Amino acid sequence: MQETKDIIMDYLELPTPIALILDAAGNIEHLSVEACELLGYELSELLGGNWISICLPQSWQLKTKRIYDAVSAGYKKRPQRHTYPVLAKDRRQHGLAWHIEQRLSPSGAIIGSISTGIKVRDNALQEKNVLLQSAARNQAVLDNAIEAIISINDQGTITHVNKTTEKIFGYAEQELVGQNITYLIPETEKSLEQYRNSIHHYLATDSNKLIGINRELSAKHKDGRQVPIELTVAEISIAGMRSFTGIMRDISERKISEARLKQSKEEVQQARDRLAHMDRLHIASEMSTGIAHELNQPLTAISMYAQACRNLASNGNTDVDSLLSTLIRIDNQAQRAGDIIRNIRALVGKQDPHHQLTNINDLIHSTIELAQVDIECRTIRFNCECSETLPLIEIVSGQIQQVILNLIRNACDAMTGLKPQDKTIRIITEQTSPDFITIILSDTGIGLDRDQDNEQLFQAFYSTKTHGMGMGLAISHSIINNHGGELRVNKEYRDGAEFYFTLPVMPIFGDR
Amino acid sequence: MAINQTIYIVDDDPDVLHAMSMLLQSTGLTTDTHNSGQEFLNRNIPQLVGCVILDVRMPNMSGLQLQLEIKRQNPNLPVVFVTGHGDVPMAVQAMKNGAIEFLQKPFRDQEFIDCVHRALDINNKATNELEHLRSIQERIGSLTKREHQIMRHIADGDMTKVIANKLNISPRTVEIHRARAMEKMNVKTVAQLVHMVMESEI
Repeated sequence: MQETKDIIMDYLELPTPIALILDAAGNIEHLSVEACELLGYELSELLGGNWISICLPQSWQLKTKRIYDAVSAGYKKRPQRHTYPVLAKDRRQHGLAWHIEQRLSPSGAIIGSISTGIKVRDNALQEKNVLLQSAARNQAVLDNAIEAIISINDQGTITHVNKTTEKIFGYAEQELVGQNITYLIPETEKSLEQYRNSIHHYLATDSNKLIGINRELSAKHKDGRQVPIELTVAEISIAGMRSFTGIMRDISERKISEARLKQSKEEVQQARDRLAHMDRLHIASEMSTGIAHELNQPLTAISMYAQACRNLASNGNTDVDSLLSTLIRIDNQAQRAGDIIRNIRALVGKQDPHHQLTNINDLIHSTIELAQVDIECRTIRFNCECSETLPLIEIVSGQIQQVILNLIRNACDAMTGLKPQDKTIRIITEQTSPDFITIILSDTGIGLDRDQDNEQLFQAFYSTKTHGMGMGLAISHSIINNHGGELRVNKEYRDGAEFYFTLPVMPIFGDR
Repeated sequence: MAINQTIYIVDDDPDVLHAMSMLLQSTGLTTDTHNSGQEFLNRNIPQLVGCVILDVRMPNMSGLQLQLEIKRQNPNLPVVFVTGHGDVPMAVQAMKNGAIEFLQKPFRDQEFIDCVHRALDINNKATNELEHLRSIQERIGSLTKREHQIMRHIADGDMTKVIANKLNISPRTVEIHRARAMEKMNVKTVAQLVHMVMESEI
């Protein structure tokens, strides 16, 4: 209110010109009474003093001195119009519009300058109005911001809050001003210490550590509940006084939607995992004949070795070496049975859905072993050209094994009816870029229909086989995608079918 | 079992192959192992004596295919199937083709050994019969044309006089030839001679 009154008073005040007479060096020879009143000096205090260094604000001195120097030196013969503020004794500034002209001696020599000034009332009014409006606008912006905006000094004491602060935290402005910021953000003592340190650190080093960085914190509402907020801190320096403004956004809703998004992503992931598991069960059921055969082999061998030992022993055979070597064989067969069961369990059991550091070449070899449980697959020659310099990669190994197994089994089906010597699967692993390794698998089978739509190939329930479920490639595709790689078919390949997939060296955690 | 009988085992799984062989050897049998049907077929199949143990599921040449080939070359060589996972149609086919047994792994060892012995007995009988037949054939081959002619008439039930009439020789000559033929055929009675001729004509 006081400011508004001042503006009105300024407006009503009549402009009174003031006069100023300077010598050639810029020293004051005379000042009008009105000038002395405006500046708040006695005339005697100013006479002989340098006008510019005494009565002008520092920032205006150099510029104004140039004008006076030019006038006194005779470079500027015509009267100059110039607006500059003067500095009163009470350090207040007054804007004046000046009319400056040469002062000549009777002989015509320049002996100084004579200036008349009129207080720039309109400008002052406008400026103040602008200031007031902008302050009001700023306040309106502050109050209507969806963020709580809190200013604190370098001690952490709250100096100002906006209306939204009251809404978010439930406190009235007067309850907060003067409190320490920890009143609102009751962090543990440790992080409080960190918070203080970061301000002090900032003050001490001027580093940008705290400023402008979004941090998620938990604040306390007046009713005691926790409010998740995102805090951004900005520094404001006014007249050398540093203060900090914290902009806090209530992120409760964002947190809820984030949680929902996370949940739905997890559900999608679970569905994907279930589908992958179904595919593995399907593979396992297709392979069950082979699995039973494979498991019966070592069991049969164990049983026969044991009987052989009994026969040898009961016949009074005392050849300990042959008994021992047979016992070792029994042991080996038991291990073999165990290995088969482990392999099957890896295929059909609950998968460890976590990324593990894996040697992809080892995984390929164990997958070939698993595939060879199938009698059809055992007649195929496998040519592996595995790069020995591949880095270990973080993958869900059970899922990648499923992809490789699917591709091998498809290749195997594509080569049914060929002579054994014509059946070859070639597997190549290589690092194709610093970020990706590529696994290429080709066969010598009937190949793919060249008019075949690539997209369709990877769609669920699409199958060219009579007994196929049409899930293998679709699931493999989604597994590779989820690993941040790509599964593709090489349409240019003419000797059969060629699929390849990439895997990132550094895991990309996709939806997980 | 006969001394010269061998058990030929064909299985693509080297461990099972070795275990089977060792078990049979521990009961005093002679074995000969092969990793694949092709390898086994390199042997002189018609000359083999004993029996064959086949795995049904083998890459390249299946047990059933191999069985047919063995049967073609040596019908007296009995085949025993062992399998880790035999389905019914496969077992039916194997038995139709003359398999002695179709054993599911893992089987009881005694069952396996008994089965092998049964196969060896069958082979033994077949071999003996074959041997017997061959010796009859051999003896028949040693007869002169006239002796053989007279033996055929005796087998047809003709009396000495009837034979003498038919051949237009004296009964005394018929008796001499008959005595020689019986001696060569190593029989004491005419009934034995008739039986032998009938055996040779089966």
